[in-house]
Amino acid sequence: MSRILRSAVRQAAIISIVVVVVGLGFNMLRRDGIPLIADAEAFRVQTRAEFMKADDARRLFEEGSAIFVDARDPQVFSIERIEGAINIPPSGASGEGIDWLTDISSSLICYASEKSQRQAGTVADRLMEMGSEKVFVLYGGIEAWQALGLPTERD
Amino acid sequence: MNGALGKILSNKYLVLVIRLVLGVVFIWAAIHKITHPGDFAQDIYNYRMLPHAFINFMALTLPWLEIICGGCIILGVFVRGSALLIGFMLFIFIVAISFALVRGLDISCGCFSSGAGGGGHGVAVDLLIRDILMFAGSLIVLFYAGSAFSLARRPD
Repeated sequence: MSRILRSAVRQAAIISIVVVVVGLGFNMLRRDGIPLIADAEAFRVQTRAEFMKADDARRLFEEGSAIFVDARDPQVFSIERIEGAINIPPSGASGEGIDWLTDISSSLICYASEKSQRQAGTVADRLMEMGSEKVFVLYGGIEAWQALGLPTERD
Repeated sequence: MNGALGKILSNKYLVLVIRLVLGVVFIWAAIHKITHPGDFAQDIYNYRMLPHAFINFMALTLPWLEIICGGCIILGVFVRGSALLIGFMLFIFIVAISFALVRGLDISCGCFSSGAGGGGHGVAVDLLIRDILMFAGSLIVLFYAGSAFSLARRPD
């Protein structure tokens, strides 16, 4: 028994070294690699809403069964946004102006820029508090959408 | 473990089947994570178990651990080391899924499609049972693997 475990641990140590070298090396070589230490901001999105990948959001976009909610400031929204998106920054995510969103059956996909995902999380939470059920946050923000070459529009 | 049970568990065909199942499952699980490390990092974060500093390191190395262990256990190279690591990973997954279930976290498990909330399987009891069964399988391979159907002449 102990001989088996000793042998297994020795092999596991060798495999682990190979894994670290290959895993980190592969990430360094790829163009879309991620930093070794995560930017805390990237994960600091406290929201009750689920995240949705751009690929899945694209499917809903093509089916016309989603409304995109841009949670960035109006100035940034006017520069470039997801085609057909409406602008609801956190400061405007309350009141009668957006009540109509709770009455529709479409999915609501909130997004901001990758670095300001917290805004999207805040707006998503407000929409859920107001009664909307199918609320999501676009994972990776508008940058993930742009990376797939999906349609955007400008003023 | 001797006797009838030991004889059954050391059956070379049973061990081969378990090796193939574990290998295929782990290689399959790794592919999407390797191609989408950012999504997988988000899945790891959603479990709320690791400090930020380790999340990307885990997202970059865990899929390679899965794919290399999966390949080794199928080919019969470093079988015991691979079984030990696969068992260790499954133990961690079992703890993480149990933790998420107890805390009521409604998150993607990150097992195969690395959902980032989009299309992954949510954490649920069936996942827990699946991982416990595979964990038992990894222990069988660890202690009963022989040299049959292996590239290496001896398992150690």
